[in-house]
Amino acid sequence: MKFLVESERGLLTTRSEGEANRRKLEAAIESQQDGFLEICFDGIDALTISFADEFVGRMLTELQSAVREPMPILITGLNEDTAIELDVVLDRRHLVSAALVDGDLKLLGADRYLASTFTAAKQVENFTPGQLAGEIDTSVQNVNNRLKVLLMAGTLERTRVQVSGGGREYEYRIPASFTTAVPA
Amino acid sequence: MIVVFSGHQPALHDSIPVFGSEDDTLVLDATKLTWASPMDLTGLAAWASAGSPLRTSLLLPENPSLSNYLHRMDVPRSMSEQGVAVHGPRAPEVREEHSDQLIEVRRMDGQSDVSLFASDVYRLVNTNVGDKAARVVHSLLGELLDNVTRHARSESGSFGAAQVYTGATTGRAGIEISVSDPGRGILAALRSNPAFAGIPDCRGAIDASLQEGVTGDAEMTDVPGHGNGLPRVVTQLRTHHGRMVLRSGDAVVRITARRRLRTVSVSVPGTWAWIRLDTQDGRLAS
Repeated sequence: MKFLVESERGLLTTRSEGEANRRKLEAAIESQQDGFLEICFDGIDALTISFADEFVGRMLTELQSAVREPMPILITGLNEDTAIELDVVLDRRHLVSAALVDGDLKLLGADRYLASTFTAAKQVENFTPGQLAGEIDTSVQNVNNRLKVLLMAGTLERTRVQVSGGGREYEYRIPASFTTAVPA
Repeated sequence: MIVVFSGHQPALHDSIPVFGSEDDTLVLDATKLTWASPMDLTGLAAWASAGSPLRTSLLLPENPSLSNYLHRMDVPRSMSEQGVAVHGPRAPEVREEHSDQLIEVRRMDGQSDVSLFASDVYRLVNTNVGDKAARVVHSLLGELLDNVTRHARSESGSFGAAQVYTGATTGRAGIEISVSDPGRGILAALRSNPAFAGIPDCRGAIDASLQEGVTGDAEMTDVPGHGNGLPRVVTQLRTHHGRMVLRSGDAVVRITARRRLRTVSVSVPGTWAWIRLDTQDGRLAS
């Protein structure tokens, strides 16, 4: 589902505007079955921290605290400046989200460990925690902890696969649905 | 009561002289005003709206060019519409067109007015300085406007004004914006939250409001993301070597690279904020 953020003049200023957009998005999510959410800021020149916190901050907090399967979430249509405001909000709320900033897929709200893990994840199509641990030179336990955060934030998806020696493990990837929004 | 706006940008300085009388008439005496910042204009409007309109009068500056300036910024007209008696030089017959460089004093009475003012300021800065500067200004202004809409509880709305200075007169190019309201003030807003009910005075309230996580909204105490508006404004201003003056009640803080917070002898109604960003070579100074 693609949710287009509403603004009359290309500017988003107050918490009330944030609340109005959040209510519409909540209603849209209630009525849809699609497993992918794109929050699109196309046409938005500037926004404030207050708006961003009331809309995206509270929305992602609610989504991530809900008892449900993680849903891929991508914020699109950001420019460098609107991305900074969102990054501040997410950082304060200890949230992360995948976002397209001037066409580049980035992770907002992340500390350097999550950011490096996400960057490495973008380089490979499918990976297990053990494979990614080798890529970023850290322990499998550390990678598992970070992947759990990224998965719950809807920035990765995973499937259970059979391993050659017997048993099963999770294989992760950047959500396939992101490719519909990410420019080639 | 006679409130004297005299000299150079009095609202930006510590004290605005008030000569008291116990009756409920209010005289805003700007006869000796020689230079007005946007906060002098929005402050005058806020003070006028805090009093009883039929018992309030405004004395315009004797200085013809400054009187013309107040007319150009719509101060006498907007006050007349509220019922305030305006005395002094009449408006010039021909209104100079400067809408590309200023936004007249404007009353904001709800979300749509606030959004429109923010949009007009964005366009003003975008046209004169550029989109990067406009985004920074929008971010700063948005926090001030959000405080007004959520915390001021003003029955008379709030007042905004903005101006772009080319530097031709002062030698310093820049943007100045002011938002003033005659509402309950920062002290009452913070005390409405039990967590901050013990703040002793306006000086303490301004001091607290500049710290992260302090909000008048009790439900949002300790909720990440709330109570960070003014600290963020200060951080952004300092990034761009900007300045802010914030008055609420009898306290005033002046923020540059340093911070100077004082209790002053006169209490203004509500909360008044002014920010200035210098511009250089078509962008914000940094």
